[in-house]
Amino acid sequence: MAVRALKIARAVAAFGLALAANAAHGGAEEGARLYLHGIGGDGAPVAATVAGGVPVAPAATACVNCHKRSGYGTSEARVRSAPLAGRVLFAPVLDGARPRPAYDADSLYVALTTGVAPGARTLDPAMPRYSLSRADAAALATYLRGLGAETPGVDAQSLDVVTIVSDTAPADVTAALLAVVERFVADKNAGSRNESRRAAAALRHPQGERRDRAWREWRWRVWRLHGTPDRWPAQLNALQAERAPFAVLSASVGRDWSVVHDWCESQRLPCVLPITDLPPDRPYDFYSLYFHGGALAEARAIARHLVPADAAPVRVLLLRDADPTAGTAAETLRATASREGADRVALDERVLPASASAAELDRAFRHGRPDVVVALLPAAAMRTVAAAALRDGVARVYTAESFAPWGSWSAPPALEVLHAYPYRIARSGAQFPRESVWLHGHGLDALPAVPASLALFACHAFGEGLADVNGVYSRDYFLESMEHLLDDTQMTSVLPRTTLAAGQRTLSKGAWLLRAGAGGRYATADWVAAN
Amino acid sequence: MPVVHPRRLRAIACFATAAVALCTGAAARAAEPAADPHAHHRAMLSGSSVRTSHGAYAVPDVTLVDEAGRKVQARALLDGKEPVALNFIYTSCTTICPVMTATMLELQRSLRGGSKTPHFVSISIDPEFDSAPVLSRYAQRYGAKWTFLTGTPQDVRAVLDSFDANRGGKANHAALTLFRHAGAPHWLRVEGLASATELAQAWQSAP
Repeated sequence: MAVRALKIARAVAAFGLALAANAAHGGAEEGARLYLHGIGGDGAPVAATVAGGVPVAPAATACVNCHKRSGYGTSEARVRSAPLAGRVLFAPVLDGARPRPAYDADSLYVALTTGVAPGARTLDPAMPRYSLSRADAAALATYLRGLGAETPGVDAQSLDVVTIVSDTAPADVTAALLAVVERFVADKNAGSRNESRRAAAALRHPQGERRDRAWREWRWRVWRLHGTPDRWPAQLNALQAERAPFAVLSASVGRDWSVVHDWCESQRLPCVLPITDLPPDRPYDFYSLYFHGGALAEARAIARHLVPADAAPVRVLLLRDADPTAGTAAETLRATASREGADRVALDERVLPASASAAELDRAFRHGRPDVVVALLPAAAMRTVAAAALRDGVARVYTAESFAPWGSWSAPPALEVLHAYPYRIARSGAQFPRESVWLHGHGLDALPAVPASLALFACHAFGEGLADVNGVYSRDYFLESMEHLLDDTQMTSVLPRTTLAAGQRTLSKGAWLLRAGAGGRYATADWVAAN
Repeated sequence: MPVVHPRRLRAIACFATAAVALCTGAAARAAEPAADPHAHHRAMLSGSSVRTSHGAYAVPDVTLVDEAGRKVQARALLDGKEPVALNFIYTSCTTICPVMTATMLELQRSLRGGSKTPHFVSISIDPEFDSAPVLSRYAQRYGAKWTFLTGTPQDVRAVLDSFDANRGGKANHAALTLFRHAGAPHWLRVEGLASATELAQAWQSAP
């Protein structure tokens, strides 16, 4: 718990310090601590009550919880948290549902302590009443003046978007991603409804349609990273210095993505849905959004399928090779099994050399005498493993999509194979019907279905997120918009179940455990939560 | 000047209208005959933005999972002989759920040692993210010693539907607390961010 609290504190503090570093005035750093943590200038937590007197912990009543990192607020649970970004708060609202005079530091103090806003309106009971000093209110005002400031990568006509690829990623995935994004952006910019003309006209007219004024042409570029991942941050810095984008629209850098994740986090640059099966385990980070949990989610799903709460004890032989991803996945599986399976799982882990002989495998089996085998191994190794399993009387083998993709090998019929699979399944017919229609219409049928479908969803999500901010081009607000719109989305996806909420950054939080059947099809499918 | 997105503005306008109605309390509902046994609930809470009503809810025969990973029969827990205080949260919620959990904690403290103490239950509306270990960490974080429930998305959704607590996406969820005394045919439904005092009063006067 202390480690986790430290992680949260570190992530939020880093953000706060980064923001404070940009502050024009002194006091912004204190203001950031208040806004993000609920800590006053004297270093003590600021007491607050909610809903007519319920005392609630300062961490829970910190402004950021409802008014968000962007300062543009949110609407949730019948509570509308107003925008606090400086240019909104310190200006009057003349029209709309709630007109009010401009705030200043004094009226901010009054509103926070008594719940009475300028214009004598009483704030909603869900808004806390704080016990804070005038000095704290002044520090907060300074911080808020700097919040919601201009974001790089966008001007009156265009918005800069990049897709990041590397030499280390699988070439077919990269090719699919770039082909889809290029066509999508071309369509979007084609202006089939004269968007650029309407935008120009809207800018000239005071009553111009807000949505038209919000339109931007996408200037899309590809950032290509070369060499080993340790050299990427310097390349990314140079690329950004040339021209900073508003956000990153997907990426294909394979399993080395965590280097880019960390760089984007340090730059406060949104990275929307990179294609990777090794997202880093950073649950408190903000800027990267993922399709699914990759190899680690598959490992957790397998561990949970192995040890349901009322199951008998089980002996497991965990086979993997020297691949670092397999090592991390094995660690995750072991940790999940021990934390949740308690003493019901006896796990024997073996690292196999590249071409393990049948004899080596037989030794591993005889030593462990397992009930089941988990194989975090590529397809090439699976035939030997399957043969050894049958010889040693082990009836069940678990495999995972990140290591031996579905359909890449065929198991002997006597062996029960359970495969962790993150994507949508179909009993019959097309697996990704909607995506297939788009791909076919653009002459891209030859692309591999999964990365092409993932790429298309990333494009749709990115576009919907930009539409939703409706001209408020804040990177943080863009991500916050997607937290809502991707939760209840009508967009189809290659992922079977997608949900999202504030602070969550992974769309699909589980995997299918498919029981292989005849003819390369699955016989049964169990959904296993992997969060 | 950035203002709220039109789509959200429409939603907010709807909520604002509802909120105004709620704030005027009893006036929000049509006048009912003097024989209404729940008129005193409405009178008591008419000054706040909290609204009470009552309902008979048929809990589906599904199996949920508690924060320790144990299976729980929803019907046995919620339709049975035990008194229950029930709310709906999700652990990633930063807006009202921390307040609701803090309030339920305070309510639990205030009712401890009394003649009728309900079994406190919180059901997650985000079962995909809120696995048992995640719920367990949330409970520990708040010092909440009561039952937190998750399950498969279909089972959880069936339970939410049965309590008329399903609002689609998480952004639309609303503060809701339900009370039921042992063997009572009806639940008392308290909508809105009620204080612990208001909830305690509701519990004491529920049928």
